[in-house]
Amino acid sequence: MKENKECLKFKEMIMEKADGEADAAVLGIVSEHTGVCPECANYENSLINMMKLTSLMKVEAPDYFEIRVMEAIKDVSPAFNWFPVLSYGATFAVAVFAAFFLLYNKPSISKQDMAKSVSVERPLAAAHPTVKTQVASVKATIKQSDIKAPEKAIQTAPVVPVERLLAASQTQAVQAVPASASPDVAAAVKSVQPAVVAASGASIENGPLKENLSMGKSPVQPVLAPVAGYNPNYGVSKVDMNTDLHAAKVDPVPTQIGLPLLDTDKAIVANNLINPNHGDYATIVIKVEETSVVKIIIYDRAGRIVAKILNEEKEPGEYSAFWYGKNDSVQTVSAGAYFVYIQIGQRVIKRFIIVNKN
Amino acid sequence: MDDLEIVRLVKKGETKYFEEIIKKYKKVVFGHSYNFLRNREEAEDTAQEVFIAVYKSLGSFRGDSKLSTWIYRITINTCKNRLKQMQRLRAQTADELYEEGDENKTSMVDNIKEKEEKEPDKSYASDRVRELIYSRIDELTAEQKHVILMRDVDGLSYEEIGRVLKLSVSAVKSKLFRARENLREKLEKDDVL
Repeated sequence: MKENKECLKFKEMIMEKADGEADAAVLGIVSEHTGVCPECANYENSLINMMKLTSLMKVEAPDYFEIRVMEAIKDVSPAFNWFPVLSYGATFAVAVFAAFFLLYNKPSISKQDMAKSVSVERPLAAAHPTVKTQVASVKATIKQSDIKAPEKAIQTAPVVPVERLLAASQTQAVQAVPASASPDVAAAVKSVQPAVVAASGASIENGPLKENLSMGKSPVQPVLAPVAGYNPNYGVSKVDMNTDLHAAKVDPVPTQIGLPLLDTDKAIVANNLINPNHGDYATIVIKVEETSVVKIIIYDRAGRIVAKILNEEKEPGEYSAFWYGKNDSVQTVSAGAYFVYIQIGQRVIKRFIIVNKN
Repeated sequence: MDDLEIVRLVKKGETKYFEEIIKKYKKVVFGHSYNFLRNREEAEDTAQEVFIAVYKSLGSFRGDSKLSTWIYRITINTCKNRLKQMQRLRAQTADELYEEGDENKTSMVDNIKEKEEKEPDKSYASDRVRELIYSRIDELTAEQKHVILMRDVDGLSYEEIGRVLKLSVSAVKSKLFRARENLREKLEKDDVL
């Protein structure tokens, strides 16, 4: 019995040794004791074996876990220390109040100052020297006429008429100068019109400009130039979309896309806002640099697997996969955010797709 | 970037940095939850609950203790609460099962044998040991369970366990010793050791 009690003390020390928490003195005592006590030597062995077994219980958290939590905390507001926020808020409120107070209690702005505030420096006008000089003359005309009869000017031609008239001269939608403008202003605007048209670099008499003008459209049309590096063949036409078999997945096929983002990110999701009801689909483009296993899995917000798009070894190259907003049972998923888990070898990339069904 | 810096940024409203905290501690939080609750879905929910609790109360984290210790403490409390909920549910389910009859109830060992008979190519030896350890750890008290998991699975030092459980190092040693003795006796009876 006495021996057992002594061994009990040693067993605690043996545990410390097994845990690597024993100091040199304890290590010495334990080594000496286990050398002469077979029971404690056995205890040490069984303890070490047990610790090895319990260490088997290590488990890995799922890869999508942080995405799931980050999504969940979007709806949660942190219980922060509100004092600095409130103090900043109070300062801001005071500043806004002071600004409004000053604005509305400022000594009344003279009508002359209001006339000065007319701005005609539109980019198009400013770009052309002829227009610039003529615009300046319009300004001067307005000032003179409005200063001469300030009350009338403010009532009939408020701050915007020159802006409006210039716009009208560009589109020709308004043929006549509004009656509200003073005769001086109308004359000045008429003189500006040809210059503005010249600045737009087109002729009214010939070509598409005339058609646009007759339709009341702006003569300045946006030019849709192809983006460098974008292959217009990319996408639907080159891919076999066998939706009968796999509504949620399509076997990826190699593409010839030269997307600069792909070199750095290794995976991009083109069109990540889809409406399955309109037949939209998201394109997941990946770049495999060395032969490796590629996984593409779609998860929902709760971290449940929605669709397994790919899980196979791929040779180097660029591939694209398509997701039509359907799960593995070929059912259209509900609206919301979905996570794309992309694993290329050891590299894990996460993207998201928004499904909208309105 | 160290923990305090990340906490400072999150407090300032840079929520995206909270992902760094999740990445750093998800293994420990999820692992502990899983080993404690023995149910993957419950563990995932609990681990999420832990991180949400951390996020919510980050404003009150003053940095007096290490972030890891603080997260650990939240994990342990959340696990305890979740286990209570699960036990209550289990008790209800057990009552219902008892009322329905208990004919299909099989032991864990029977399950393993059945699996081995069905699929003889697969080795269930390590699975069996793992199952046994899990079930024997389940039989320990909640505190003993936490102490063993923290030390053997999560690799926390006596001092760190003491900080989490607010115990002295000698108290930790004695609790761990008793927990291991209990577990060792059970596993010896099962012929595992």
